[in-house]
Amino acid sequence: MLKIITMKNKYILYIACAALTIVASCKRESFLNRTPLSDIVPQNFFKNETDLQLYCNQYYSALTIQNLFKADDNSDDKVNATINPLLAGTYTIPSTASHHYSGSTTLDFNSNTDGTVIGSSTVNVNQSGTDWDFALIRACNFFLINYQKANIPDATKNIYVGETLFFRANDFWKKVKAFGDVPYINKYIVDTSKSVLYGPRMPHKQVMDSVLKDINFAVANLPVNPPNGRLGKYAALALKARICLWEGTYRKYAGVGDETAYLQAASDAAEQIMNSGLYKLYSTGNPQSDYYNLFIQEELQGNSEAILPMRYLPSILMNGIDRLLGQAGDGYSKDFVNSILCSDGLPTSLSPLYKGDNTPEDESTNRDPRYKQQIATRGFDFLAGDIITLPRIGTTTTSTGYQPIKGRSNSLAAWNANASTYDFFIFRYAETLLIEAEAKAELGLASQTIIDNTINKLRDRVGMPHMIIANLVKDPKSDFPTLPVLIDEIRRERRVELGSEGFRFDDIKRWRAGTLINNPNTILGMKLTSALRAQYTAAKLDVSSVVVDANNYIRQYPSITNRTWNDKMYLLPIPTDEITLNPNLKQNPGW
Amino acid sequence: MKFLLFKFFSVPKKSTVHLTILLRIMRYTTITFTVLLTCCNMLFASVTRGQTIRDISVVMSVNNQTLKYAIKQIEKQTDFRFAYKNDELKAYNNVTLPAGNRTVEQTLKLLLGQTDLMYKQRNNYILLVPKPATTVQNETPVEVVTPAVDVIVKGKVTDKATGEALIGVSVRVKGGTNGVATDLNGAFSINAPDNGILVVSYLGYVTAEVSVDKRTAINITLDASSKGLSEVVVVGYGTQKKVNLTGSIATVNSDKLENRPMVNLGDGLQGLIPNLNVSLGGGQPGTAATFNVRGGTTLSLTNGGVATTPLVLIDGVARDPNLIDPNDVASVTVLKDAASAAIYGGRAANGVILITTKSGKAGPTRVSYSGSYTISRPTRLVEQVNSLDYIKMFNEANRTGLKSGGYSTTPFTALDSTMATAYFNDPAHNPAGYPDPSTNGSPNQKYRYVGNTDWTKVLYPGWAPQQQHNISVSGGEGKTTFLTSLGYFRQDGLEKSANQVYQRYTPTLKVNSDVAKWLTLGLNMSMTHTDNDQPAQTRINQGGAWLYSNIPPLMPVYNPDGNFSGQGNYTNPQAVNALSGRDIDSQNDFWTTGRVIIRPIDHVSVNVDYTWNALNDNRKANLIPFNEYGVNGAFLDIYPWTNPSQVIENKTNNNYNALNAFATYENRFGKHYLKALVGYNQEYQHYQLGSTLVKNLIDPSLPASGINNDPKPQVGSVETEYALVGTFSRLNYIYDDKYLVEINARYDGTSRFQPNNRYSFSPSASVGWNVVQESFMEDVRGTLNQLKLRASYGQLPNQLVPGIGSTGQMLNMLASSVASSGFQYPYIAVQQTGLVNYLLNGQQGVMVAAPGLISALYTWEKVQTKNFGLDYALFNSKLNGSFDYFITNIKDILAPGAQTPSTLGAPVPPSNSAAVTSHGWEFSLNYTDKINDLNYSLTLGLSNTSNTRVTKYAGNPTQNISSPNNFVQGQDLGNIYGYINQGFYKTDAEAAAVDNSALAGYKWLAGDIKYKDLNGDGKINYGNNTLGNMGDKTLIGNTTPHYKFGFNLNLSYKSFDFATFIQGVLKQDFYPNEYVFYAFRDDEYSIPSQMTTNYWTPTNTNAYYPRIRFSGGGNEQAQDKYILNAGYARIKQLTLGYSLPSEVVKNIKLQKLRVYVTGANLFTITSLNKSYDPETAPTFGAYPLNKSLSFGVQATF
Repeated sequence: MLKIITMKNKYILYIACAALTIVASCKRESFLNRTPLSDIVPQNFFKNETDLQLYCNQYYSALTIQNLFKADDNSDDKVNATINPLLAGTYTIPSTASHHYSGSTTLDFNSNTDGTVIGSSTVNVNQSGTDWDFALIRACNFFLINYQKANIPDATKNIYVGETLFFRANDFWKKVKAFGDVPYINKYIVDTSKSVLYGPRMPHKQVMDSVLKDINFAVANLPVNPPNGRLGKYAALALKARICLWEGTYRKYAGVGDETAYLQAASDAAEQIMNSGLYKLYSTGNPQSDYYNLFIQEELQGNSEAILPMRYLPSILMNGIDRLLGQAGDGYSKDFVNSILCSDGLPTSLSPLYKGDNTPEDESTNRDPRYKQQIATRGFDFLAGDIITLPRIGTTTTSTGYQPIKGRSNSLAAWNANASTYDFFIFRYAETLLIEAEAKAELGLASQTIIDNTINKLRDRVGMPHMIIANLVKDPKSDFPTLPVLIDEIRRERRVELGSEGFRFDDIKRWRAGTLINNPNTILGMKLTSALRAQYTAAKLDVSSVVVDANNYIRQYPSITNRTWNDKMYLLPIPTDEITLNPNLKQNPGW
Repeated sequence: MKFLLFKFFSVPKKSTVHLTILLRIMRYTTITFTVLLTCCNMLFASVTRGQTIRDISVVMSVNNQTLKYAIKQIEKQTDFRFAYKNDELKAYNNVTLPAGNRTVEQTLKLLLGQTDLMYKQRNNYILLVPKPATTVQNETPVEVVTPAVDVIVKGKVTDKATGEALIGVSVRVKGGTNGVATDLNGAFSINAPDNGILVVSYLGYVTAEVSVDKRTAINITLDASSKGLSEVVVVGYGTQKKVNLTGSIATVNSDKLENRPMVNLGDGLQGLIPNLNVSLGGGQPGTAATFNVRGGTTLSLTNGGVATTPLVLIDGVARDPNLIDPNDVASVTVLKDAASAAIYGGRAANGVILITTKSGKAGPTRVSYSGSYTISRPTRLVEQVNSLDYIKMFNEANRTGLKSGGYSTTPFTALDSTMATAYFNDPAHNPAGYPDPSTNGSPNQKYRYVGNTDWTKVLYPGWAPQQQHNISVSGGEGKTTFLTSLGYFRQDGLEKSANQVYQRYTPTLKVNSDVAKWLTLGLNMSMTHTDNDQPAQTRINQGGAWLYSNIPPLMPVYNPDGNFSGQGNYTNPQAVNALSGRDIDSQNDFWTTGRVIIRPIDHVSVNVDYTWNALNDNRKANLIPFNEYGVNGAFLDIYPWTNPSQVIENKTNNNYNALNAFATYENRFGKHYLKALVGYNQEYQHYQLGSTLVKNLIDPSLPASGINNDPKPQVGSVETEYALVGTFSRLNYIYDDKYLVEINARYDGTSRFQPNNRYSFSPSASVGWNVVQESFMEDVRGTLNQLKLRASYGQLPNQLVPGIGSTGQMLNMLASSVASSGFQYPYIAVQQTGLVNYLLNGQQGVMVAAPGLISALYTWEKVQTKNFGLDYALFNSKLNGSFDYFITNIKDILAPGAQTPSTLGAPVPPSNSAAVTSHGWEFSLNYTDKINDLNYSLTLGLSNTSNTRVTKYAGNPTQNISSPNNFVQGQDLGNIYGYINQGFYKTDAEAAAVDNSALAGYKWLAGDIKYKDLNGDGKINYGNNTLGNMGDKTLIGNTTPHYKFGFNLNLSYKSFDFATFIQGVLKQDFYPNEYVFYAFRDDEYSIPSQMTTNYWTPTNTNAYYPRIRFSGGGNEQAQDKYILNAGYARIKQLTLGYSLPSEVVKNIKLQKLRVYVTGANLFTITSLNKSYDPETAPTFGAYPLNKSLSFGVQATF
């Protein structure tokens, strides 16, 4: 068809094409070069102390808090309406890793694995760190290659390096707890083809040695009196004590060796806090209410027990804990309740004061006052005059009849608004005392003085008799029949004092005590006798469908009588995608 | 802008016009055009000055000389050139002209007065032609039988409607070989038998047969065929005769859009053009329609409705079509295939919609008014259960929960039931709430509600008004035409207590002036002012509508003591609407386009236009706290969601300007037709947003941000820029009206990519073959008036980035995501700032985050389209239409790149790594005819797009299918994977025997759904939710809509007219997953709808729904039984109009007066339950669409 074109037309065509080419090559670089007008680019950042501080602020969402909501559901302490899939053996290997980076303006390094938003998604201790995510590590490493640009004294820079290393240490420790060996990434990676991304996992102990180095730097460089809300030396020591106790006991009970240095470091860190004289347990001299009240404080800043609080203020930052706790469908296990001492300091198996468990009243009588201060019993004001008579059993109340009330206020306003401003602990002095007692006991160095300065301080607050090493009697129903009685009782004290605070599963792991969950009592609830059922009927509360076992104990999971521990549960599996992407990663044993 | 094809040069092949002058002009043209092109930008200085015969004078005298001599004198003194037939001038050899200085016009008048010739001016040359013969048309024929004698028949062919002479019309003798074509004046002269028949045919007109009947002078008028093939269609940077199109282009003219009320242009366009998909979004006043051409063809399903938006140009500039008055629109053209759209390059990857607004016409000033008043109400609404069913179902669900260890709560008591029944039966004498006995004695005692409120009815009680008015004045004298109009539109919201009012004012002014023969100036100014006043949108008010919610039927609107109900437990929408503050938005969108069109020499036209747009938006929303009360007005609490008081003020300023400059050359050489275009386009946008959020107002009812008690007001700002340049060219070549070729090329540069990857070249080509013009088709040409085959191929780049959707153009310039730096500077890593959820110094800490990763190789996506089409016209073009088949391949889609190990710690930067493919077809058919006085026309459009297949995607290596929005290589977008429903478990034992624990941990019972164990492992589960291991799931559907159609019928009988328009989708899988579909879908607070009452009980085992549960997740899995067909057919429009007879109208000094009634969306056929509107079902929860009844009037003075 084109052949038909005459010579003249062709001529025009050629010229036109030539012209087009010329036109097409007109580039307008200056017109097209546009750069952000209202955003920060790295070239212009890290100039001064303010920049370093603003950058470090992002880490703070990674602090784990004791917010008490459904905490310890993954342990022998609690029997939530929904069974924990890991302990039930139904946990499946995730295919993809969840991540905490997003394009949103509110960055949050914590995830909330059960999808419940608390205080804009900051989560509690035992719910975080289980994701194969390195966003925080990357943020830390980016700081470490850039902070030197700031034109400020080294000592000032080191404060923020200290904050950065605090968080990097904490994050790697959480990964070690969850996965064992982990890739230790301490470089800022830009090139996505780099081999460092595809490297193998670093052995657990080696990672922890690096973690210890980081945390020691933080301890050495963070200020004793940090500005309002920031991390200081004692927060770093509290983290160090927590990490080192975990690692020391883990090494001991997993039999991997080299535990002494860590146990000693835990004790040293705890003692530095204790000896600072800055902290003591909160008490107003009311053993029947101080412990309960401690967890519904509007303001923990300045509270002598708060080494670092998670604060909330009206209309600035609020949480939904009040209603969440009221509707969690959560419950302590029979096993947890049994472990609470009687008021004479003896276990239920030995104490003459124990009245049995035929009624909720019998069971809670003559017990450690922390019983009634963390479990709803008759007379508890649940909500603005809504007084508990019989334990409220149901999916939105409690699963087992032992309804956790730690942190639960009776505020109608908080309930209605689904917003409250009760503060949480990030580091609580009581934990430090328990760390000191346990570390010393594990080292074989626990004297009565040590116990008096730690365990007995806790007991004083609630009016319990002192623990006297010489008088300790082994509980015939002990969870740890082979352990020395002192360690056994220190662990019991820890369990009761820190109930619902999210430490229990970490403890089980470091004690290598997974088989505790095999105990049928760990999934049973209170005793619901036919006489008690009759009371419910009289009170028009429907418990007709509540399932009980042969001995009338509530069975929350009717299809099983007990859970079965498998050693693979000590470590979580790595998402399958990650293993596909990096053949150098090997799956954890058993998964 | 139109490039009128100079009809003068469409010289018919048998014409005997003297061509020497034309050739001379052509030489000029060639040289000038060459210079022009080479210089890239235009050489305005060298352009020949235009002139008129009135302006130019000549000094001359003629004394008995030839006429030819006389006109040579004129040519010598001026730039005018004469065209004539030598034969016709020969006769005049003794003309005379006294000496003198006269204008050319005067001179010609004097000269030609002595002849039978007349002159016509066409640009720079003057035609001399014979004066039209004066004939008597209605000569009475004498009935004498005589043998046929050949006579010379002379006459003129004109357009019946316009009276314009038609040039090149074929006039031949029926049955003979004799044929001629009309000349420049439409005149013809033919030898024909005096009893013969002349066949007069012309492309785009109905062929006429005229008996000679011994006449020697016959003037013939031709009717333009209905969908005139002579129709000129707006294409990129120009126009094209429809017969000469080679791409896939569809057009709608204002006649389809006028005569009925519509909320925005999208409302009117829906269904009119096959494969132009318009989503109305919902019926909330001010809701923008979104557009899509040929389906969602890219990886953007997850981006909520902004996917694959085409480029929309209004009079050549990118504007939001939702913001213009539909009455101002003259035509809408959709460029569907890449070849047609290629001229727009990097913005046109998803097609182009060209909207042309009306212009003034020369002639007397016309004043037109059109107005309508409309009442509307929701098409469909959720029907919630009544109070008694609610209690029954609630307690039933609770029993299931208790029985199976599922979710349970406190059930309604016997007293509740008694009181509710009493109220239900006799609301006048029973209270809708009674004091809660369990809180007797408490000072803040609450009611237990036992009323029976149909909340849907309360919220949407009646008909909401809507009105529109448009007044326009247009006209022009001589060379200047103008049109000015003022449109007003007001719509009240359907949700009555919200009191939403949306108003739009659209003044426009359009002036065009042919300043000189070679120069046209144009000015286009328009402004859209909108006011939208609605209740403050809080998290509880779902985008301005309360459609479905957690308001139980038991709750009355008011407590028995008269306060608003709610009591802290429930949200009372009536209270929130009435008490919680307003959200007021006002916007000025001001557009000005100045345009210069220069015709330096013949065949060449240069257009330069510059557009400036200022868009300002002020938005102010405030929240006012209000109290909630219990029994006897006891104060309970402050309603929490609007507390503390606050005001948000957003002020946005967007400046945009665009420059287009292009030159067109068009000419015909014998059988060759050539048109070339070259041009330049640049655009620049500068966006600024300032926002403040202030809490704790000192006077909550005075929403002024300055008056507050907020320790830390929040202040924000965004400022971004964007620039684009493009050069483009197009070449059209046509041989003998049969073979059509078009070649496009565009070279684009954008500020959105880094300099190395910034530019993109996109060529395209299309060809067409007018089969019917071939000689072998001559015999059928009488019946088959047109048959054209088309094929095109093109590749277009796309510069937009993932995360927003690969869109051609964001319609709403103010959408914050569009103006964000992530969108405008996607290749620059920025450090985000924000707040951290931790208190530092008593405030949330401000943080600066680490930058994300950016791919160095980030560049344009590429969209390739192959299109094969066919246009046809039959029976004098009464029947016409087209068919197109297309294949779209999109490659280098910016998508999450190949996954890296998570140890990277950042999202993998998007890279040009994905590809999709789809194909489809569209068919259209128009038929226009009349039976006596009944004129009718019908139009049918039918289209389909295949599912979009992902051919390459690295972001999901495990092929996870857990969400319908997951992209899986090798799979179609929108695939629904689910289980096979095998009815219900008949006994508890049967249910207990199957391990369903992966779906729901509670105990499964009789009446729960029995899923098929597809993999035979004895368990029902989803494996690991990957394509390779999806357990018992299988592919059960796809959400892509298929077979869309639109059907138009227009009738007119004498003064009456009737129009109806039916639109629909024949097949669309819909996976309902909402409150209304499952009883207690989310939890105890989800209120069931009436359709859920047919649930399984031991006595109703044939139910549609399973056993009722609170959040019965196990039964609510995606499954074949509950994949519904959201297909529908809807009568979008039904109009009956009456035009007053012209005698009557003239008496009242009007030209035209029409009144009409229109019903919109009145009837819908669908298999979906009444709670769903099929048009919005997939985005359930949107503000309901409306059906309406309008009364309108149109008048022209």
